[in-house]
Amino acid sequence: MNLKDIALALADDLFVQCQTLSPWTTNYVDFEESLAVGSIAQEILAHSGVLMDWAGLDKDQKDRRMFARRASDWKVTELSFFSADSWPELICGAYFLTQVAKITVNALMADSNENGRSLKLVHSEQLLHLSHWRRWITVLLADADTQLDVNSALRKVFDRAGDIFASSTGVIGDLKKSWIVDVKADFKQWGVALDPAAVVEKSRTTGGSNAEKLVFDLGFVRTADGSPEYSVY
Amino acid sequence: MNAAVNFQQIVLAVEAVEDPEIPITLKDLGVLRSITHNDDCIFIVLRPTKIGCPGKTRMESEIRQACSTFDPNGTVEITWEYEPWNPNDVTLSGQKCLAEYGITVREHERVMCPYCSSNAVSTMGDFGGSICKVPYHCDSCGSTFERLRSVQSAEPVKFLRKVE
Repeated sequence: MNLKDIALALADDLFVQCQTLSPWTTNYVDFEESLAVGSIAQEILAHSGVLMDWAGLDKDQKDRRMFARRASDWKVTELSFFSADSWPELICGAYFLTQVAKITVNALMADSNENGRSLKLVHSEQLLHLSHWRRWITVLLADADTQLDVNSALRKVFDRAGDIFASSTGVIGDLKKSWIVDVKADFKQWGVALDPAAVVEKSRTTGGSNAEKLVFDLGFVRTADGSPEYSVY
Repeated sequence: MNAAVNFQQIVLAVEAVEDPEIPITLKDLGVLRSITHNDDCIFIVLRPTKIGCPGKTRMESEIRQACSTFDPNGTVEITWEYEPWNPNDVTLSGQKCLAEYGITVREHERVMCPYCSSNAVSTMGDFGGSICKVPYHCDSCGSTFERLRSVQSAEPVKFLRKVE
C-alpha cells in the first residue's frame, strides 16, 4: 500500500465510524456526551472528505466511492464496522481508531506540501478526540464499579485491531510501530496488561452483514430526493 | 462578468449574507475572505470556522442567490479554503453581535462572560451544541454561554467543572 491507499483506507474507516458512532447520540449516556459524540461523528465525516481530497478524488469520485459502492467492496477495519454493544466497548474502539487516525494523518502531513494544509486541521481535531476517549477510559478504569467492564472491552476491541496495520514492513509497518509505541504508553499509564505489539495481524474483511446494512442505509441517503447526485462531500 | 453588472452591488449583497445559525454576517464572522472577479466569473473565497461545519452548503446557496440577484446569468466560483479560522477574524461589530447571543470569541485566560463580563468562568466540556462551540458557565452571574472554538484553541479542557 502506498500513502494514497492508506489515506483512502482511513477515509473509509472514519466514514463508517461516523455511522457507528451516530446512534450513540440518542443512546443518551448523558446529555453532554451526546453532544460530544455528535460533534466527533460530524468532524470525522469531514476528515474522511479531507483525506479523499488529499488522495486526489474530486467531488463526484468522492460521492461515488461512498454511496455507489457494493457491500462486497467495502473493506474497513473491524473497529469501525462492528457496532459497540456497550459504552466501554465504544470508547475503547474509538480510542484505538483515533490513535490510528492521529498517526496516519501525521505521516500524510510529513509527505505533503500545499495540499497537506487541511490535514493540520484534521490532526488537531483528532488530538482533541483522542483526549476525549482517553479521559473516558481513564475515569472508568479508576472506578471499581467499571474497571472490569473497561478491561474486558479493551481486550475484546484489541482483538479487532489486528486489521488496522496488517503488516510489519514498509510504510504500514512504520505506522504500526508508532501505533504500538503510543498505545503502549497509554496502557502503561492505565495499568493495562495488554501488549499492543502482540496484536494479531489479519486482513480486512468485507464486513459481511455490517457492510450490507451500511450500503442499505446509504441507499436511503442517495434516493431521498430521487436524485442521482448525492452531493454530500 | 457582464459589463453592465455593478460589481459593488454584488459585493454588498454577498457581504450581507448571514450565518445559517446565528444572525451575524459571514463577513463579520471572518468566514467570507475575499470577492474578486474577471470578465467571466465572480470568485469568492470562504473559510469555515470548522472543516466539518454543516452550514457550508447553505452558505454557498445563499451566496449564489445573492449574486444572482444582480447577475442572474453570471458564473460564481466558491472556494472553501481549509486554513485555520481564527477568533481574531471576527470583526468588532461581529463580536458585539455574538455577545448578544451568549457567545464569546475570547480564548484562554481572556474568556469572559458575555452577559456580565466576569472572568470567573469555567468550561463545562470540550464539545457544545455545535462543533464550533465550547460550553462555559459563569460562576459570577450563573449564566451559561459558549465560546467559538478555533483550531488553535482546540486543545482539550484541563479540567471539568465539578457536577453538583
